[in-house]
Amino acid sequence: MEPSSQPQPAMGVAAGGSQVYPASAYPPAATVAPPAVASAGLQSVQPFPANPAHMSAQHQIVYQQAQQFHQQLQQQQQQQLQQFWVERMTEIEATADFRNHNLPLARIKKIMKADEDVRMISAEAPVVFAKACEIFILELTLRSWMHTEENKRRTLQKNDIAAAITRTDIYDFLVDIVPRDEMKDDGIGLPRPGLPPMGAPADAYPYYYMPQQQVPGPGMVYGAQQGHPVTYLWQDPQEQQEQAPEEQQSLHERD
Amino acid sequence: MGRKAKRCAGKKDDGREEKVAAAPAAEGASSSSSDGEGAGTAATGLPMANLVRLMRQVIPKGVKISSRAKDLTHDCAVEFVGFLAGEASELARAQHRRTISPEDFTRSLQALGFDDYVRPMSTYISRYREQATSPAGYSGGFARRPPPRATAAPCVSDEETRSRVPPHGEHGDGWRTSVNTPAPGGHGYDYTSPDNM
Repeated sequence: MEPSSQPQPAMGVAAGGSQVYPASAYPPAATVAPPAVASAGLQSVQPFPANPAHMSAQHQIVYQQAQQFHQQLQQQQQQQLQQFWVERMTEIEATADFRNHNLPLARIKKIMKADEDVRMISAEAPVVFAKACEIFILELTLRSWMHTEENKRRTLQKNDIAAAITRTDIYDFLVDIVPRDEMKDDGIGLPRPGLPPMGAPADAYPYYYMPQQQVPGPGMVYGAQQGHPVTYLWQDPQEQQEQAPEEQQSLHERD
Repeated sequence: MGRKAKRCAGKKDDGREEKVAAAPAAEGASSSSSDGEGAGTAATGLPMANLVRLMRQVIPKGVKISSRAKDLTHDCAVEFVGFLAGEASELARAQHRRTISPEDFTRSLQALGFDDYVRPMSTYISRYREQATSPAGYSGGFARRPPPRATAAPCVSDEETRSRVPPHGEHGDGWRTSVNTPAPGGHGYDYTSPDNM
């Protein structure tokens, strides 16, 4: 997997002292490049809240180490998710008994019927829904556990689940289920000077823009789609590309 | 944003789906949803023991799970089933069918962005139908929907396809597995067949 290029314009400008409080949108190229720091990155988004104008060399070192730590963390978590999906396929292909389920079918059917729009359900549908719900519980728990690990804890807590929901785009339908106070506990392991209001969730977690710079190899795109923890309002470029196949599919269904 | 726009257009809970809605409206929708969820959970819940057993499958031994984490996971699982059931129902109705089928389910997974689920679930449906054709199979399911004639792709083929076919091809492969129609590659999937059967 290709290593992530690090965005450096903020540090370059700040270290040079040419601006006291730079604008929110940095230029693509840094005006001053300190020798110990790599050249400007691909993104102009600032990964951290604005730092003081004169950043010491020691702070730069800490900053770099923090970035490296998080890049390794993202790669490790991505591998965990890929392994998770490989295990799911293996488990399904090895399934021999379809009568014993981890979740009772009657309960699944009741949940499906709770929606007034859902009228008739084929006999096969609850079996399939139960299996998907099982996989969902496993995936949500794994993503939550990743957050527990980041915080060096051994107890999976409610805020870990809230963090997993916040980081995973396809989980945005769950946002209403999570109390707002749980969202505020989403710590990364790096100190931050306070959380912005929830009115701008994309700005609330600026650090999560960094994983977008990772470009997984062609063979890993499938599994990697869910590997990037992004805010639920972040429009992933891959998703935009997926619009076309979806539309084609939609047209095909109408034929 | 086409995907989310579609969801907003179809759903009754527009307040929840529209992220751009004002904060007070979102709060109102959240409160309403919370009340509904509370009532719903009492009537349509999942056994907590089964849920916790599943959770422990993906975390190391010795890790504790707080009660509030279990409750929140439970609520999320219930919401997941309802969310997909609503979408599957709309897809069935769009084709003038009144019964939700497993194919509606896999299409709803894709429509809602659960791409990783499509291939495992399509394989699961195929394998479920294989055993349904045996003498001890599920008579109800068999009576309502006879299984397709073609057999599912073998495991080795799946492995080869996964390593060779590009991302979009993989999605196609998932759909091909769904209809049990082997195809050399590319856009080999055809969703008209299951409906005609």
